[in-house]
Amino acid sequence: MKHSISNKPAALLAACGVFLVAAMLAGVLPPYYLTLLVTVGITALASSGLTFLLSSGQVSLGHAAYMGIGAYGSAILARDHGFPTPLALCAGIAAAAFAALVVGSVTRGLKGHFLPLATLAIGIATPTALIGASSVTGGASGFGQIPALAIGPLDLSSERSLAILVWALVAVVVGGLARFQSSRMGRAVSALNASDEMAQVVGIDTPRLKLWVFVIAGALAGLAGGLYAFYFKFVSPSPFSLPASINLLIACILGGAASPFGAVLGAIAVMGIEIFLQDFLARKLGLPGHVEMVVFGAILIGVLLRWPGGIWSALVRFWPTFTALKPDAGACAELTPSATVGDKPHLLQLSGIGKSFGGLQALADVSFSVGAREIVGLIGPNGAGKSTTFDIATGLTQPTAGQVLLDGLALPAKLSKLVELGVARTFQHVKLVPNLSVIENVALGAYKQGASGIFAGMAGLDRDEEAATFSLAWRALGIVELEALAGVPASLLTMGQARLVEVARAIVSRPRLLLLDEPAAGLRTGEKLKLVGLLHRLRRSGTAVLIVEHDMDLVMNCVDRLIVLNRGRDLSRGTPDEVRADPQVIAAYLGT
Amino acid sequence: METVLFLLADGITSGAVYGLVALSLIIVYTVTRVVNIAQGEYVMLGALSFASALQGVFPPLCMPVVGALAAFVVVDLLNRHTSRAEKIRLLTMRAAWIVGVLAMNYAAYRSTGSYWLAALASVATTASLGPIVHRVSVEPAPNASQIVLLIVSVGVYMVLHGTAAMLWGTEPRSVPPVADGGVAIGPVFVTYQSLCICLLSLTAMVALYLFSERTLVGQALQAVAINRVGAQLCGIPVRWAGRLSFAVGAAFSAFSGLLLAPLVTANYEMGFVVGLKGFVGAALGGIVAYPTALIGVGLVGTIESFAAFHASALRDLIVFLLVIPILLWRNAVKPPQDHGH
Repeated sequence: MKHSISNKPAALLAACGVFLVAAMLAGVLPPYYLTLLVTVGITALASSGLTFLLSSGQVSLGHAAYMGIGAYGSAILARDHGFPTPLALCAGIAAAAFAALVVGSVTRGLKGHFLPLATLAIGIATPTALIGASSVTGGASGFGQIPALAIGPLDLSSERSLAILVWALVAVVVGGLARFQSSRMGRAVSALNASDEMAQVVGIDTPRLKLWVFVIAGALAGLAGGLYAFYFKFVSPSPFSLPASINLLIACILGGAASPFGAVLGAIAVMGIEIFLQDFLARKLGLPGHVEMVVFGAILIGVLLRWPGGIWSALVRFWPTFTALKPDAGACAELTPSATVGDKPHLLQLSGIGKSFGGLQALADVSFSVGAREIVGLIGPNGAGKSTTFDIATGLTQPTAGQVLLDGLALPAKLSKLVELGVARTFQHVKLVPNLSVIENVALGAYKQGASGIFAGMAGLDRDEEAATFSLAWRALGIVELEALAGVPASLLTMGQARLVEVARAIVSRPRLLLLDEPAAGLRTGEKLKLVGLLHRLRRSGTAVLIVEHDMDLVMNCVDRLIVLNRGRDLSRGTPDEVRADPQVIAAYLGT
Repeated sequence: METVLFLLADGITSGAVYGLVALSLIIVYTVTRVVNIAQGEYVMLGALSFASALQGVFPPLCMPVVGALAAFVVVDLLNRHTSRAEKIRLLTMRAAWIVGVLAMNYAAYRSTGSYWLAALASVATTASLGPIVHRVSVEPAPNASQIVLLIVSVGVYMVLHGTAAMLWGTEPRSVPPVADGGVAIGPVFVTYQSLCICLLSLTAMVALYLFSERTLVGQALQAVAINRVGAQLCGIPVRWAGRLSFAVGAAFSAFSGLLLAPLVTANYEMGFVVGLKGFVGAALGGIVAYPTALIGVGLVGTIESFAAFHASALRDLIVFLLVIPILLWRNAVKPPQDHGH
């Protein structure tokens, strides 16, 4: 194996460790503490779903609602409809996942703080609905006599065996989620959190992936709820009400939302603090219950202000960072543009483009084209409409007039399809995933060349594909000469380095057409020279480039043709020498 | 018809109370980005302080607040990075603040039963708690994410809630209305308390509006709300703006607590539900826009009183489920902008 990716075995090891410790405890603890152990496991399961949700940039303030749906679903089917218990559990999980699917598809368009508020409303409405539908749910007092869980010949009626099952599931889920973080879809989920636009540009169908994440988070809560019902053999609405949702969030944030193991740490910490306070404050000092609440709140505030990343962030230095070893020189994949469709003279063609924002006419009648193996520069003074043109050319903005053709065809309706047609771009304001390493950021560009899904990533069935992906990523990183920074988190890069990493991410997708938005802004002289060399190299390999740039020397040195915009209109065009001599251009840049 | 009008009057009254809480949430959220779960607790603290002042007990919240302020004086004086002149300025201001809170509480204590003094003292004390909470729970981690700040505010909720239960006990305390009786408006009998609630809430809201639109300080708060970094570059101390927003939020919530107390009796558990309704109202109006928030809370109050009358078991279900279509509609019409942090 060329690639040893060292935090994946660590995840496996940690998950096994969690399971072994819990299983041993389940064997020896007295009944009262056994119940606490199971409660911690159930909280950890539901919270790990929440951690997963948070990692995609979404949030649910009412997540216990899905636990409630899972618990009531399983319990009612098993008790009143004679479903075999494993089937009832699965049906409960499915019900919770379906509820999450419905809620997710209704609310996924919500922006800003609207999503948390909507989930808060769901979190309050669901337990109320459980009370309201008293003929089925037993109202506020709930119901008992839920049969014991029995999976085939495996009898799980004893509390100890069920506790072991709960923790086995915790280990599988948390270990799987931890492995998932360093997989193709895991990188995609992190990209969702960083920038929706960037995620779409590398080919991620963001609305769909967000919904998937929401559904999985709901299903995990449903699983936790179903286990709750079969362990306690009694359900009522209160364990699934708003305070319970907040409790799940506390576990998730206190433990650390950066890792699924944070959910386990958080669930243990919450329970541990509670037991300690009960034991110490109430029993030893004889203080009333409110003191416990005050102290718990103070601990919560103190820990989070000291470690805003939760307990996990205090332990993370002991955790191996993601490493993808560099393959041998010979084994490196070559980055050549993907096959050309047809042989059209114009790869990208903009004709008669106009764009107005309200009353402001930003662009009027702009037309130009980029041919295969050609470097075209788009320049103009500030406010000339370069960035707008650029966004229209990549489908990020819709023009109010004119059309954009790629290979003679209209741009696809979905932005995420563009990369499949061989188009890649960088951003004027660099968009990297700050918490991922440089090499992973570059690998994100190869998203569309992989196929492994969410579950393959969790189970580790994606090794060969990951090897191929990282081979490409190393190659691209080599082209921008930043191999030394492969393992550094993207948040620590300088502006110039970050821009070059973005270029590397773009070329990993093996584009036929590369669009660079002010790639030299913030670059030092040495880095600029590197960029010029890179552009020439790309042209030799057959990539067409459209570049928007302020740095005249850089543009003049490397482009075949120039388009000059001024005040939203075509001002001039031609070879660098022709443009340089054009009196109109001189007037626009220097003023008349 | 009479029932409808009665329910409407009832709904508007609760809406006015929720409105004050919604405004507190909004001002805190816009300036500091804290979704403040603890906001309802200021409602409770205001109401309980008011109740004890009226009963002739020295408000128990006064001493902890004064103590915390004094502790900050010590911390500020020990800070080596502040100049001597700055220290003197801080010391004078803090001293004036402490003396002011003490004086108001003492005056309310001495002239037992004075409605207005009691109101003033309890609002001032609770408002002073706002900046203390900001300093302790928001300032130490300026780069914490929104969700971490939310969970920290849950911690604050626990501390305030538990402290209130220790200071006042769990027994509810009744608070007399501002005036007994009421007046018949058409076919509906409206209590003076309800009228008073609506009028005072409206006055407070107009005052807040004028404060944020017409005064330099208000403009500074708005600037921070729109762009923190930009405001900082213009010389507006963001930390100070955060404290002020917490103070104004606490004052408004405490005030709503005073107005609400005669209707529901003051008790240590009253805050959370009111805070939640304020959230819903703020959501319906959009957390960041003041005037529409008022329509939102009016709607919450009215829907709530109608739902309670027709299907009391499902009251909260109806109120909270209505949030979602309204959010969807608002999102389609005018989605919230993500301001720079």
